[in-house]
Amino acid sequence: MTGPSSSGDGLSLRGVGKAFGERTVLHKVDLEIPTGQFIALIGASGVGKSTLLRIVAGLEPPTSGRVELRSNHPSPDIRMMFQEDRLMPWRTVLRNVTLGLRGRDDDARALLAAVGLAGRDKDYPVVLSGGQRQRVALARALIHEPELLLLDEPFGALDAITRTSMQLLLEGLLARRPRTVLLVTHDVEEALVLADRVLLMRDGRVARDLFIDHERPRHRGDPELAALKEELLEGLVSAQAAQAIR
Amino acid sequence: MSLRRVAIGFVTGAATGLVLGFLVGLSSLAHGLLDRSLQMVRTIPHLALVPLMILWFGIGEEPRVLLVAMGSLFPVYINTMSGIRNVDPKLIELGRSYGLGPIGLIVSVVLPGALPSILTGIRYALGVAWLTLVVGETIASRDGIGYMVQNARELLRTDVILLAIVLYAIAGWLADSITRVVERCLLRWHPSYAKGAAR
Repeated sequence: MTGPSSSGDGLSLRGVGKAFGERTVLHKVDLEIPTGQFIALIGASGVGKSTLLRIVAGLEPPTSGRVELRSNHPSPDIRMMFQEDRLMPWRTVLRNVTLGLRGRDDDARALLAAVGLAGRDKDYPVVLSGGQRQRVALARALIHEPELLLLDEPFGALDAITRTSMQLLLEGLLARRPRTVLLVTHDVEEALVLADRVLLMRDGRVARDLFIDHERPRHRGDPELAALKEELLEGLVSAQAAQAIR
Repeated sequence: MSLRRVAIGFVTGAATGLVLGFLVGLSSLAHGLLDRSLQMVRTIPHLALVPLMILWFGIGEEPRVLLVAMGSLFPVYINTMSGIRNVDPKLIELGRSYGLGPIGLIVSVVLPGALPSILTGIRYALGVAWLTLVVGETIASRDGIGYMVQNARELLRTDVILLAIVLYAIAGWLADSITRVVERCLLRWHPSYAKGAAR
């Protein structure tokens, strides 16, 4: 197992806490994520996964603590992908990918081809399926070559088949060019197949920190992964049950 | 003559409405300051202002154009404002996190998002503009379709009255068609306009 390096490049969270009024969503989370690591955050709904992600993205300020992204890049870029595609319906596919950019049409077309949407650049998002829209959103995030890619249940709203193909696509794109990824998901299997490290969150804390060093590409039927999945699911369900009793 | 009045009145009124709608829609300060009073003025039937207009501006061109302007201001204002306020905040958040500045946000997210609503306002305002003009032209004027009707009434010329009505209908239809074409061009991305099915 490769332990998180405490020095050098990477993302570090120091005592990050968040409270909405009386309700504390995150309790002083400490995390060290070295560059290039793929992290999956799993947990029941409402344990603060998405909030943590939004804080890292800078969309919300933490109540306490701080987030640091150390990089040799002068202005490290963070891009986030949401559960909804959030495409601008009035922009063509190409213009959605180049949002906020100028003169990067060729790069955008190459990326669209990489996500399997070659030749669709002049279409409007309305005519695309849910999976295709998420592919555009992925291309839009990747064109910025982000140091850190944040994924907030990006495949949560897709059907099982589309979800699996999106997972394969993401895995393929990351194999070509690894980058730090933080993925929030409900899907334990998705976490186990994609991530180098799975963090299980419970009550606003990181309850388990698990390194997955299986070889890639991983098979969904792998018995060891299946056993891990059972174990994690049990942890999740018991946490939810405990919450229900309280 | 009538067409010119409608054009001038409508353009000034709609432009003012658009600017005010943007101001109030984008800034909560402007909303606090202006919206209440504008809504109050809006509830006054603008035709009730005819006598006042005549007293202030005489019976020249100004009161008529001004009435048309007032009539077209409020539909545009209200629709622009509500269109802007109804732009999906998630898209605005996305635009911001993808590096759009305030102007970029307005141009690439807020304006296109509010456009369907703005165009509805403009279409409605066109109707109101013509209506207002009819009334405006019946007061002491020497030309225009309204004057023609007024005159024909005195002379019991039913045919002229009918002609005037047809003229109004054609003008209204024409204005509506133009906005519809504009809508179809600007809202190509919109699911209900994309198939050329603008209502």
